[in-house]
Amino acid sequence: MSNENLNTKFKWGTILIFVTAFQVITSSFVFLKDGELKLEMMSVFAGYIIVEWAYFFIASLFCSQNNFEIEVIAFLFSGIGLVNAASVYDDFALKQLISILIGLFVFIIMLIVLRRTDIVMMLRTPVAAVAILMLGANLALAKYNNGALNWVTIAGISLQPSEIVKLAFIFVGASSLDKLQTGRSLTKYLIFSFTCVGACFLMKDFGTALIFFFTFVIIAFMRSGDVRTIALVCVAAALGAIMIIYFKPHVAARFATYRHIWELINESGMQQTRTLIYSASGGVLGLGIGNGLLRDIFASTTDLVFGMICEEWGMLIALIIVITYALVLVFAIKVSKTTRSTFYSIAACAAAGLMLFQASLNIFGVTDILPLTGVTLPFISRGGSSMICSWGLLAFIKSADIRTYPGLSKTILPDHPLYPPDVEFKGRKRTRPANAGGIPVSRAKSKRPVYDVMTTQGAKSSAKDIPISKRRSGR
Amino acid sequence: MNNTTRRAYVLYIVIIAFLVGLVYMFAEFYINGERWASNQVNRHIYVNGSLASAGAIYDCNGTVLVSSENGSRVYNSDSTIRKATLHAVGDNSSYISTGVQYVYSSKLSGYDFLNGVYNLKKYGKGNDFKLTLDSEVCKTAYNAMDGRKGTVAAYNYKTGEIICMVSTPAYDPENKPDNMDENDEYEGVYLNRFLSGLYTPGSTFKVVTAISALENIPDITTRTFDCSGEYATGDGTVICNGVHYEQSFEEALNNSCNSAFAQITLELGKEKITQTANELGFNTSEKMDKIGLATSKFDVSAADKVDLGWAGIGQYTTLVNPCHMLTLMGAIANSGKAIKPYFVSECVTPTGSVNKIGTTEESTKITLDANIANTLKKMMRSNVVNHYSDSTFPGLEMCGKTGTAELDTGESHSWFVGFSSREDMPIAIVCVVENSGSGLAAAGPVVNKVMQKICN
Repeated sequence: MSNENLNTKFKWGTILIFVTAFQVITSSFVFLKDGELKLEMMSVFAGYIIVEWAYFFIASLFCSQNNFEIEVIAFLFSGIGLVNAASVYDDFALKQLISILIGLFVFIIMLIVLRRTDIVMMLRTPVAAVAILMLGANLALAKYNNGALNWVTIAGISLQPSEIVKLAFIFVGASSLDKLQTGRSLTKYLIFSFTCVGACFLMKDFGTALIFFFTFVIIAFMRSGDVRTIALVCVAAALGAIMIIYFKPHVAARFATYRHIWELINESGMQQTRTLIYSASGGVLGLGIGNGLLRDIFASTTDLVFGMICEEWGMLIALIIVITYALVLVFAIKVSKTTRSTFYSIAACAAAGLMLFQASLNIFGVTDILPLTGVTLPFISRGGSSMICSWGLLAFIKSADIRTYPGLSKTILPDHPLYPPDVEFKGRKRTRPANAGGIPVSRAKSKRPVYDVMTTQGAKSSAKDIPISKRRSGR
Repeated sequence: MNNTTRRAYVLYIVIIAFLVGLVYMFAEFYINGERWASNQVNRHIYVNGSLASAGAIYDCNGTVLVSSENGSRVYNSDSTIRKATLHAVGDNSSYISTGVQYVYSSKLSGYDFLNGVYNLKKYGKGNDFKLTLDSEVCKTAYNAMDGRKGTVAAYNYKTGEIICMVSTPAYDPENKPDNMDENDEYEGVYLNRFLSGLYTPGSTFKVVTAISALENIPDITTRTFDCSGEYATGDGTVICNGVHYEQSFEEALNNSCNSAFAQITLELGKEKITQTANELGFNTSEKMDKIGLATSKFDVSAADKVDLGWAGIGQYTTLVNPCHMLTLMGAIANSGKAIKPYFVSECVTPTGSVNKIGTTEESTKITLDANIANTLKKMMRSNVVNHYSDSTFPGLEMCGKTGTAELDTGESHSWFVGFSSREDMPIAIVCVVENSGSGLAAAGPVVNKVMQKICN
């Protein structure tokens, strides 16, 4: 192990110590509440910190990971969400810990899958199909929950399929949408997008519909760069939205509270007014964990969690959290410059964009700057589906970072940038350069035109972007 | 690839939009946070809609008017003091919008932008407030009002400190009557008549007309006016309260002669009397720290001759705010320098640091020439000496003007405005007793009782 590697490991180790210290201090407000030690709660937090360190050690010692920007943010945020949820209700603690563990699991699985672009290509149709099936099942099985149909309860476990579909949406979009103007893959993706957005509308989950639409615009723009088409799509969507509001007044009625929350202070403006009142009560420095009163309001740990953070943790920490969402997007834009293929660039930007957009809808929704749509704050809001989605989104960004797959970076050659030389596909050893473009054999053989992500041209230029010397440095 | 990467930069627009949203949001918190935090549904401060734990309010002698004990508000032990200071202190439920407990509720609860309501939680109380009022004087004033509606207030016209401020009807906040809404006895009970009331001034307005005459008619003090019990204006008649025959300007004010003052007003004309009224603070809004006062109105733009005549003697559409009238009295007493009255002197944090709220401050809304003020002061002294009699105000050397404001319906409002000319007692006073007839008979004794209490 080189000195430099050791240094970065040491750096991240130090950062993780600070993160852990923050978590110990904040969680102590919960497990030491009223001077009495709650062992059960303490073990949950201890478990969480152990998982954190275990991930760090395994990833850095056995998986040659040297960079943990993404993970530190994820663990820090998840920890805040965990402490916050646990501070409201003891039973939330274990559930939330399990949610985080599932999220981490999904994150790792996604990193393994995303390593192999051939598997990505193979999976996109099945993933699209499963996503649509999930939304279909949601519509068929769901019961109304707080005005929206986006919950399914199976065997006592509530699930929000639309959260998982967000991951599929990026996965499918980034891997299949080629030039917006061209052929079949566009049509397919358009149909897929329309289905997702439409399903959300049927579920009356307008926030998620908006998130899907926003993500679609990012993906389509990054793919095509066609401003006119994108503008057209946006105008069409806006017209569609106006039509819906015109023909379905009850939809508009849902937004009647917007900018009128103080007149409806004890009716539909209840949640937002309480968020503002108690956030202001917290001041810049906060009242301390457990000392707030927004916690008694419905959905305090989910939709209104931003207000709880403001009131109890202080506006300063709330500000740091929300700015971090923007920094994640900056990070994604930066890593998208040096990815192995456009799939990663698009997926990373779409994922970070989605996360920031969703955070905006949440934060500005509860503070009445935008209409309230009832979406969650990634990582911080309590809930399993949302947690899985948040970790999954970060997996897209992490996978786009070339440092994540050091083995691959090492072996990429300027002329064959996409695949490690010895990737097997359908049992056949691939020979280069026959398939250098990365088009799966089966499709390459077919007569259909292929508009895949990994066009030869794109791949070559991608390789040019990353000087070999740079990629090899640090090993 | 290069293209895709370049396109990613467009996402910076999203980031900028997000940051703009954040700046807007935190600016809103900074600007509105105090108002939001002091909303009545904030259970940090209010319990069941009532202020529960907040700082105490003291009078100028350190007497506790209200404080928090075990999560509820406890008022002064004397029920008369509770009633007499109700409008200054305010109620629990924010019905009295000019009371300290409403106007300063966020400060009282210890809110500040940095700490939120943290201090309230830590110390169990917020910031304390000290008033300039003397609760004993207020009690005397409340008793002197004797169940009649109205207001009486007195202030130090050199410092601006309000010593007495009572508005009636009032109720006992510890023992709130149930049927106040239907009961006529409690009409306008949540209103501080001193700050928010508007009354027809009646003859007290002759002070304003006199100032205008002194400003605009050079030989006014040497002129004589003939009163035959009425004054014919050409399109109507102004009725006088008596027949005063020939009288000087000073005697006309002593007699409160309507004929003379209607004649003077007509001679001045709409423009000049309006100009004087505006210079003296009519038709301009004024605030006492955060509390907006009712704006006195003088508008003769649509008046014909007889209306103008009536306007000059304080009838017609003219309305006056008692606090404004008190400040005007202060200006006359203080050689034209109008000091703004205030009743909230300071805010004391739980850690003991003191923030001044009310300070001695000259009014920018009232301008009055020193010579005219002094001339008028003499004339108002002669009112008392020659007309009302010093025995009504023993030892006070009062200057004053009464008013009997005639209303369309019901008995007239009784006014007394004035001040003591004693150097050691720079106190101006205003008193309105509603529907009680003659100014001197109803308001005079109230003024005397309050002034005697202050004097001792």
